[in-house]
Amino acid sequence: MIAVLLVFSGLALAAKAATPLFTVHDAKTELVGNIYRLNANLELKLTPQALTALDNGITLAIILDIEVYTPSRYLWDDVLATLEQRYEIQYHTLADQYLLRNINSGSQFIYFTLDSALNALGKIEQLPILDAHLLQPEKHYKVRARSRLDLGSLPVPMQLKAYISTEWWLNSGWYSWDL
Amino acid sequence: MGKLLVWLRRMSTSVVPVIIMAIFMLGSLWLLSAATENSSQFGRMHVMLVVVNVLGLIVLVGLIGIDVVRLVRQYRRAATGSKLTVRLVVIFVVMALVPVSIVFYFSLGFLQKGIDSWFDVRIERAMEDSLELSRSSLDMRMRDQLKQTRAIAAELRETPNAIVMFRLNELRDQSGASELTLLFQSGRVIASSSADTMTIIPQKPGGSILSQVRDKHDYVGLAPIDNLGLHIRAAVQIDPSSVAVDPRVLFMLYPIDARVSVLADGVQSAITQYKELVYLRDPLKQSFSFTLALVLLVTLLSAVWAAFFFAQRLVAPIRILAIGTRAVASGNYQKKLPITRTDELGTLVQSFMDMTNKVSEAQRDAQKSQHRAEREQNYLRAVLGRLSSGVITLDKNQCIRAVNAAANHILEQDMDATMGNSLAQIERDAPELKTFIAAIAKHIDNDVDDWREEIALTSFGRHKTLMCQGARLPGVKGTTPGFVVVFDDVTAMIQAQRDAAWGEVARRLAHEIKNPLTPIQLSAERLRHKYLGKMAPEDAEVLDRSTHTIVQQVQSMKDMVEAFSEYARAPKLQPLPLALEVLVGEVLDLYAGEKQTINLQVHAEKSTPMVEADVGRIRQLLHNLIRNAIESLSDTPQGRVDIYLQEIEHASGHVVEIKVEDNGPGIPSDMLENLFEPYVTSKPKGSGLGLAVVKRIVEEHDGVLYAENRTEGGARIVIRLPALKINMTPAAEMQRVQNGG
Repeated sequence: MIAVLLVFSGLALAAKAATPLFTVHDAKTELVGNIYRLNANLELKLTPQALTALDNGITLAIILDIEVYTPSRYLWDDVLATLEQRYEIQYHTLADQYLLRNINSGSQFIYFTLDSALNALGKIEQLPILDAHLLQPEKHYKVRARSRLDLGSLPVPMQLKAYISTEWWLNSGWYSWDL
Repeated sequence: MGKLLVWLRRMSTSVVPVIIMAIFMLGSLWLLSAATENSSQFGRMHVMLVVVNVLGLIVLVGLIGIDVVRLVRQYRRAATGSKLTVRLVVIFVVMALVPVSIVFYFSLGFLQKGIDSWFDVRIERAMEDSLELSRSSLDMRMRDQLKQTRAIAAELRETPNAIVMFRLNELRDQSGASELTLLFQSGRVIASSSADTMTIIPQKPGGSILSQVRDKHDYVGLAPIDNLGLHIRAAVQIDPSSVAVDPRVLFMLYPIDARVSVLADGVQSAITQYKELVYLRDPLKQSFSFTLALVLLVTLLSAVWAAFFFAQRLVAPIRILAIGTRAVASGNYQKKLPITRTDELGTLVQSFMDMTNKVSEAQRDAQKSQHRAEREQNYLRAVLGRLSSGVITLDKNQCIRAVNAAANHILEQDMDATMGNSLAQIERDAPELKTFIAAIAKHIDNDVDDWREEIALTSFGRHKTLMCQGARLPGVKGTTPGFVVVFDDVTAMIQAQRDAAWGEVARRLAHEIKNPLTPIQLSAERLRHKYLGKMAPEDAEVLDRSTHTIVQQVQSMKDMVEAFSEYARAPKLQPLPLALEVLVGEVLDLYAGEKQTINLQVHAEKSTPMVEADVGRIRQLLHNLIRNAIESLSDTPQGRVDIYLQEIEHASGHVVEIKVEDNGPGIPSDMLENLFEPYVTSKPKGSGLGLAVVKRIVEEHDGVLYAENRTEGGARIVIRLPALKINMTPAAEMQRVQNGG
């Protein structure tokens, strides 16, 4: 298991070294009422393999992970809250358009082009993430976010290859800021 | 690492881990198979299952590796059972490999062909046609809905925003739309009407639709609306000619007929699934092949491991048996073997142990018997060894089987060295035993059960008389019996009898003859004295001569009786270390006068060892021998006497040999046998006691002597005296001799 993890982390490093296709820009939180809300700009580009799969009817799941945590000097940070925003993009053959679904809210939108769908996905506005009452005033909290392609939701025959191929390694890495 | 190896080794020899691992691997493979079939339940576990199974494979390879290394080591050091284990493993592996490989090969073929058979150009074409058909059908509807939307927009063109709300419901009902929204180009909603009264927020056109409308292009298109299914969306400017900054836009949502919607959804879903399937064709093949290969590998490696496991379990009792057999071969009958099974192999081990127990008991009995036999043999050997009689036993082939120490001594041969040799062979090796062996062989050949005979033996010129008794040994259970020969050296006894007889003769002579001699002599002298003067001169002369003869002969008889008396009386021996060459030199000095007519020579080795002897006796011995030799040379013109002194190695130890040789007429052959008997002489003047005295002195010193004629003429007398073990230098000994020691 350790060997497999090492392989994966090695691949992750290799992917990081290249120009990242998923990036988190300008993420910040603001307190509206008693709720912290997230505004973020995600830049999402797909690899040719992912594009081909999408055009061939494969649904791609893109996940936005958000964590509120207290930084630790040790290996693991003390994570207070985690939030997973899950989106699915699918090509609608009959309409010849791209369907974007927010799994958390259940809403769906249809776009003429993939770019417009990805742009719409990348614009996170006023997303409630945390009740301020849950925080302890004396502690210093940070937030981090990352966007990634969920390989586990790909069809099973594709999964193993996707896990060991850099072409499918779409992950922005953590972007963190003070709460 | 060491603990891991121990754990792996324990894993590879116990049954429970095997069963647990087998169940685990089977479960894991089943889950993997389910996941590969895209089961929603296990789909997300697929990669983890692959990793688990690969790890299982690695563990299996590790276990097999340990087994292989162990087996190779055992094979190299030729450990018991390793060859059988190798053979069993190879058979098991081949039995597993061949069918599994065949199944794998054909399964792979079926898999590829099966997946390929899902796809057909005609189906693909039908799919595309149905898509086209659906689109055409919907296109017509969309055009109609667009026209209707434009018409409603024309109606609303002159209606101000304040009252437009009142007309919307009416227009929506008339048009059959599910939702109607009037909004500004910027996206701000002016008014909305929905067939679904629960709808609070109306559907809005996206930015791209609004920008298309801004460019004076009306929009109509299909869109799936949340959970409501497929709808036609249409958007038109209310007043295309308007130059307002933010003109109004009419956005309408038309439901599609339920039947058509279901069909369209079906077409959409089927096409999507088919395209996905076509796209996944190769990954599917690879995935199924990979899973199949993984299953096969796990199965195969499990079979190989099982082969090792069962081969070792199968061979274990055989190995135990082999250890037991080796222990028995090395004489250990007490080895306890563990019985780990209840099947035939277990019974075999049990039977083997029963057998070894019985063998062990038999061996104990045999050992007891052997010890008893050894004790008896030792007892017999001790008895035989202490016997003064010589004992020789022979087997049925007349080969020596046993000899005691007395036999060696009596025969003056190392008979122990002849153990196992036949009589004929011994006769060849030791010709001096010829008469002895011939006598024994004669009785054995004549099949005489019990015999007794006196045998005369000449060994190194010395005559011996042996009293032999022979008997056939009792045979045991049909075996041909051997023979036993018991013999005594009766030479000394016979000699002693003879000496005693001679001593008696001498004493009687001394007593019976010496007593009347003096009166005879006195009477003769008295006759002479009384009648010599009174008789006529002729008679007086006769008397004088006769009495003179009587007196002279009486004196001679007296001397002779004195010599006999001397022979019969033996003074006590006083042995001391003695250097013979010194003594020989001294004795020869007394014969200096003789040297003018006879050549007297001494040949002594420089390192002649000393002997322990009575100086006076040996001196007398040398005198007797030299005088004897000189007397025998009276008629020989160039007389010669050689005296040799040398050390020789004999069966009974080191001896000093004194050899006196002359070149005289030699010893008459009829006298040779009894030369050393008293009163045996070839000389007219000899008393016949010289050599008898020599013989007695030699025997008193535990020596041997014999006489023989030289081939070049003359006689030779050989005397052998035991050499003194602690050697002294001749010079030191000379000093002792001169001091009278």
